Amino acid sequence: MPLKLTKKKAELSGDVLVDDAETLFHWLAAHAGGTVVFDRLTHMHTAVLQALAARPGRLKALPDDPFLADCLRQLTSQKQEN
Amino acid sequence: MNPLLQQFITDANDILERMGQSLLALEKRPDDEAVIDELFRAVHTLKGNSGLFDIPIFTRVVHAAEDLLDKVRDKALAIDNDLTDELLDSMDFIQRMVEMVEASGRIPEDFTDEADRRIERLKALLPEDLTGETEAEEEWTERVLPPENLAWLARLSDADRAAASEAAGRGALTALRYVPEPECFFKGEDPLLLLRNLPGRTGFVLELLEPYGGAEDTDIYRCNIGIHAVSSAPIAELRDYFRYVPEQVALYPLTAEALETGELPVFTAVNSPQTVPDAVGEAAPRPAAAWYFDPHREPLAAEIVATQRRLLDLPASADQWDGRLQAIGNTLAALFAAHGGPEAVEELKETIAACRREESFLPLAFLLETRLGSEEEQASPAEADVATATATTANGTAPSDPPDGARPADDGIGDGLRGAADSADRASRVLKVPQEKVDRLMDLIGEMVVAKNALPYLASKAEEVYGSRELAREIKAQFAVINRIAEDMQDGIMQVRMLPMSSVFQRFPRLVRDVARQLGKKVRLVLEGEDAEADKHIVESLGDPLIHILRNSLDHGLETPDVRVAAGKPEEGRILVRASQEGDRVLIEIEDDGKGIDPAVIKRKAFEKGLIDEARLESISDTEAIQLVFAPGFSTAETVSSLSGRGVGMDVVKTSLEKIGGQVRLTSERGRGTRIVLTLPLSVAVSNVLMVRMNGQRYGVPMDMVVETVRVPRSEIHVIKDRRVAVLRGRIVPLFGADELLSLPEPPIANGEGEYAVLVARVDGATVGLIVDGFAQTTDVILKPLEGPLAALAGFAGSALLGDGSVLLVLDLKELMHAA
Repeated sequence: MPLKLTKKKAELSGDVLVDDAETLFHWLAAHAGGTVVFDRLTHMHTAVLQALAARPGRLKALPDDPFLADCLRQLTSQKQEN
Repeated sequence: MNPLLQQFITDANDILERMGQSLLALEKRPDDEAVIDELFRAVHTLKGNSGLFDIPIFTRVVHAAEDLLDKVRDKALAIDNDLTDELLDSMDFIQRMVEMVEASGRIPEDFTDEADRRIERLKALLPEDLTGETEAEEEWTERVLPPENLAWLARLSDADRAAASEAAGRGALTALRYVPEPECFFKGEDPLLLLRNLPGRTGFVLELLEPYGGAEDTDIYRCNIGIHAVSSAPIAELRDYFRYVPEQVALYPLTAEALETGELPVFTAVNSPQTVPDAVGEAAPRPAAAWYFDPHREPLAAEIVATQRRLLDLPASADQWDGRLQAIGNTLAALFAAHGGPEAVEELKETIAACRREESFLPLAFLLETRLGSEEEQASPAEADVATATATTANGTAPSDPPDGARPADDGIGDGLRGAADSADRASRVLKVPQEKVDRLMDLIGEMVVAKNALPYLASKAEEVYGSRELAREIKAQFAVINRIAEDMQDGIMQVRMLPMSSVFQRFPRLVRDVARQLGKKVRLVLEGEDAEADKHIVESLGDPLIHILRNSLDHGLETPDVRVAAGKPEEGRILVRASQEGDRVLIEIEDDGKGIDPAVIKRKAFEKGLIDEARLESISDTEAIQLVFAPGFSTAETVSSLSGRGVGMDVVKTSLEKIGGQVRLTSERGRGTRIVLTLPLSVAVSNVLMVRMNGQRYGVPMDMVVETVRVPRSEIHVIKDRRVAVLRGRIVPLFGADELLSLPEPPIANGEGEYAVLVARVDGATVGLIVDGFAQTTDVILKPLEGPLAALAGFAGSALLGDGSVLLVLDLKELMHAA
């Protein structure tokens, strides 16, 4: 499962596909305190990136993948923490 | 190749052929709506079909042609010669792409530039007031333009900047602006993936086109991202990379200077036709506008400037770039000279030089923006028009959409499927079989024919060796049955290979039209007997010779309209091509009512070229003289033109026809026209040969060359100057010994009465005799050309297998005689 949702955490791993964007977006809206973590994320669809950009400030850390990290940094104004 | 693609290629060829015919028909009857509809449907189907494959360039060119035809259908555009020329030309281009796809499964990159140029040209033919509308109609989003400023570079991370600078040191950098269309996710696109895999990516900047407000109804599936990126890959590779979304990407060169300094020419983005909302665009302080003229008082000048400014934004391919800069420069120079004075012209010159240095339009765009500034918001009427036009493009919708303007994007695919379904229907009635399969079947049947011929040998063996007359009779009875079936099969496969003449003839209307236009002649081409059929091989080999003959008729035969009128002929020349069947031969006549061939000219030319000597020059008759055009190395054209007379001439026509067993006859009447008659066998597969014996070997001679077989007593063979001759039926016939021709060790043997067996044959119109040992029966053989190392052997037309398993060499008497 590329997208695992619990009450407090949304975990993205592997290839997150376009279909997951909406689920993630609704989860972000419904769980105001929930955070997003990445585990060996290889790619996410543009729509997923948009979902994260639409609800900024929820990332615990940037993904390891430098490209995705760069994308997220630019769109969510998230600073690299490590 | 996958069967669907195969089907597409077959269909595309059919469609292109139909389109060619329709276009020519349309030129004659421009108002024929049925033809226009047919043409439009054909193009539309082609576009739809192509959408199923990975050939976006193809689809775009066809689309441009479709737009044009759409206007013709709506009567917004009239068909004229130029339009037809352009469309025919585009069809040729499309045809070339089809061939490429067929050969390699893809369209090479070097087609892209020509495709773009062609699309531009087709678009230029659209009625002017509709251009904007059409653009909007065909592209969901407006074409993305390079950004007005390079402010985004500042947002590159330092590491990326450094990487880019380093890359710039190694070679040219390309910047790109990619604004995916909002609906792109629904087409399976993932812009992020495209960016991730961007060749030569050295840095990128992402931005949200519209900030997310946090509203619950935010549509996450509407693409809201704009991308700036820098790449070190060649621009051609990038263009290819973005081939699916060409209108959503703008590529432009990025100079090292711009990268280094960060001191970039910053433009005001206030009223430019910039259509991409630039969230980053920090409006730099605009230098105080130094007006060269007042746009309110000089609306025309303002419009010219605005147009040039827009031209600068349009993407230009490398080979157009310089020309465009030159053109814009010239226009502005003239305008500045009139309104600005020498100072302005000087500044312009410098700016253009800067453009050249930086290989970018930016400096000039900068000049236009700052020095000529604008208050187009409250612009003069002329400028308001320009603004409207821009707005139209920007909105992506035209003010008045034509009925089919808002075609759903997947319509093309739907059509493709429909088209495929149509052809599936057709396939149930007509089989399209690859030629190799038919050829293989024919080969097998050929072998069968040969194999069955072994049965009579078996029968006689049964009788003579095993003494069983009964068995021999039964074998013979069976042979009769198999023989009948084999002959029917042979007949059947021949029918399959039969093609109507129309498959060659259909190329002619286009050819005649193009050549006639080029030569400024008026020609009516009449085709008759297109239904006459002949073997595929024959019909296909006819194409080039016929085209050559037609070109000759057009170039040398028919006169220009004024000459024709002066000669009392109708202005329009006439060329008749007629095919008909005569026994087992097919006849093709090509007749023109041009100036005919002047025997005197031919004689003189032939003499000058050393084809005939002085004595022959005196004695040759007019009819014979005309035949000299078939002599190798003869070309009557005073000057070598691009059409005919490039040294190949009619001799090539003659030899290529003779290769397939054909003959050419030419008659001409001065001032009245020329008539060429080609006779060809209906089929080449089975040849009837007469077997002759020489030195204990059997050889075959094609029956169509044989005149008669006679026995000539030794006493009647005379020797004139080392040549043996005999008088046969009142004429002197030269005799050749088979031993001389074939370098056989033994001379021919006479029979008991001292008579020689002489095969009288007709070679090149002359009657010759061939002295052999004796004659055997005639037989039908499948003639196979000699292959491999044997192919170089002169004097043999090929080999054939006989029923007893032995090989028969078939002589090529013509070659043998020429060697003698």
